Amino acid sequence: MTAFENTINQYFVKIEKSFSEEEILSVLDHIAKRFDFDFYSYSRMFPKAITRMNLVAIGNYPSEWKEKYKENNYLFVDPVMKHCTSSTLPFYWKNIFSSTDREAIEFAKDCASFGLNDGFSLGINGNCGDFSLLNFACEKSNNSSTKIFSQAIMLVHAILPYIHEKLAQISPVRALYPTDNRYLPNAPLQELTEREKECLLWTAEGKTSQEISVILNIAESTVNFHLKNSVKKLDCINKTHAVAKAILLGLSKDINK
Amino acid sequence: MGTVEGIAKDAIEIIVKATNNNEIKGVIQNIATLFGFELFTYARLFPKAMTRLEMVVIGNYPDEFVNVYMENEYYYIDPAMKHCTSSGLPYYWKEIFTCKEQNVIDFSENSSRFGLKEGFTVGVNGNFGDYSVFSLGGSKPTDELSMELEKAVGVAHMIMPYIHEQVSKISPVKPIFPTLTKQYSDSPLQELTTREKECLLWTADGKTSHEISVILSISESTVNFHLKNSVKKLDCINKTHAVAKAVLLGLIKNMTEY
Repeated sequence: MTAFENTINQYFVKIEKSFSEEEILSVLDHIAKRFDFDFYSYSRMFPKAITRMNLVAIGNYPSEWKEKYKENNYLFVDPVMKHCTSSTLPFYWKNIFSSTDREAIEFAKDCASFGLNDGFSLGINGNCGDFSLLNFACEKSNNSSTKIFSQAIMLVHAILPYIHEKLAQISPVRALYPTDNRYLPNAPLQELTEREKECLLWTAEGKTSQEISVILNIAESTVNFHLKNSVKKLDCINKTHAVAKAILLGLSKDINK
Repeated sequence: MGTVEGIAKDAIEIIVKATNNNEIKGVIQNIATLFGFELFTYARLFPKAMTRLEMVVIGNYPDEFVNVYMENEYYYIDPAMKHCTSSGLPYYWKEIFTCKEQNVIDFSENSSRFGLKEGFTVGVNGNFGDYSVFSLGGSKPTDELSMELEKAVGVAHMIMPYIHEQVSKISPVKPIFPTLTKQYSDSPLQELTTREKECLLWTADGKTSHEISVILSISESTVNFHLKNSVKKLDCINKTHAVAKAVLLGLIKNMTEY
């Protein structure tokens, strides 16, 4: 086993045995030190609704920067977010400066003034509308940074899925239903019966209750009964709302089971 | 054998330059051989609608098995698929032996007949409702190469995002929606405007046309106009249908609070 493989292996074991966010943080901290990064940040996002996202970030980013980010609504400008919500490939921060996106360049300059000069980001999509983003950054970049980055990226590709799943287990984002204690992000979907899911599915395909009653060979009033219950269980206002939320939480994948 | 990162790096270099799926196949073939697996398959799945999935498959599974798989709709039974649509971790085929359901046992027996005895599957989710699965399998018991197995899984995790993105460039599944990337330029469908997306987004949040008109400070008839155009552009029947399709394909994503 090479030193690199040995490292991956050690991280696997550490992640596997973690019971707290702090233990995961110590893994990230270790990786940062190993590759000479000064900063790291791990954000987890979970849709509360189609128009609202819950974001929880851990790491050692400067708190002034985090405040500024929030204040300025940088989430909508941040080129990292733009890239990682449309591609599964890593994003090299250097690429910002070769783009023509003025807003992005201004953002990167601002970012750099907090010491976040050079770095890379890598995202991973969960199965219920959730998303994680891992960033590593350094104050100074040097000639060998490209090589170091590519090594670090390989490592991150290998361990990110494990961190993503582990954090979902030990520190679930309690996002969707502030009023109750159900933890799993897709818990609301699990509450739905097969019939309710079927009715939502066909509604999502543009079918009316009458048409669904024919497809499923049940009474139209029964279809409406199932839809009404689904709307209630998903804490929604109407049919369209419930369909959107169910899909956001992974209904299409759930149906395939 | 090379190192994990060496193998992955060499593979990625070829993958990102690949112009057809055969080149991708060659890369996967090499990795499979390197780790002692006879069989491999990569599939990219894309929802055309809630009830329909399109697939691009690259691999060397026996044709006969693929036919059996399709005929029996094993997609719905295959524990690897079940696992990978709910977890980002690898699925080790050995776990199948803990399954007690008859249809899974049948599936497992059928797979073994075609030489798919032991192996693993790794999945990756795209950003537009699409996802990819990657399997390496064979008749060699994975116990014997458990260290090797771990290396193979590591390589799989490293190369999957690159294969996923490259295959979506090489073989765009048609017809899908071009709104967010230029990759899918073959699509006959028109792009949604920002206003149309906004109207769909708020509709998805359960708002009525009247409520949306207040939120966006435009007239209600304008909201209905945008929604009608969205339904048309997305090739849908009604508002709910259009919302479902837009959410499914990741065409409307918004974050106003975090």
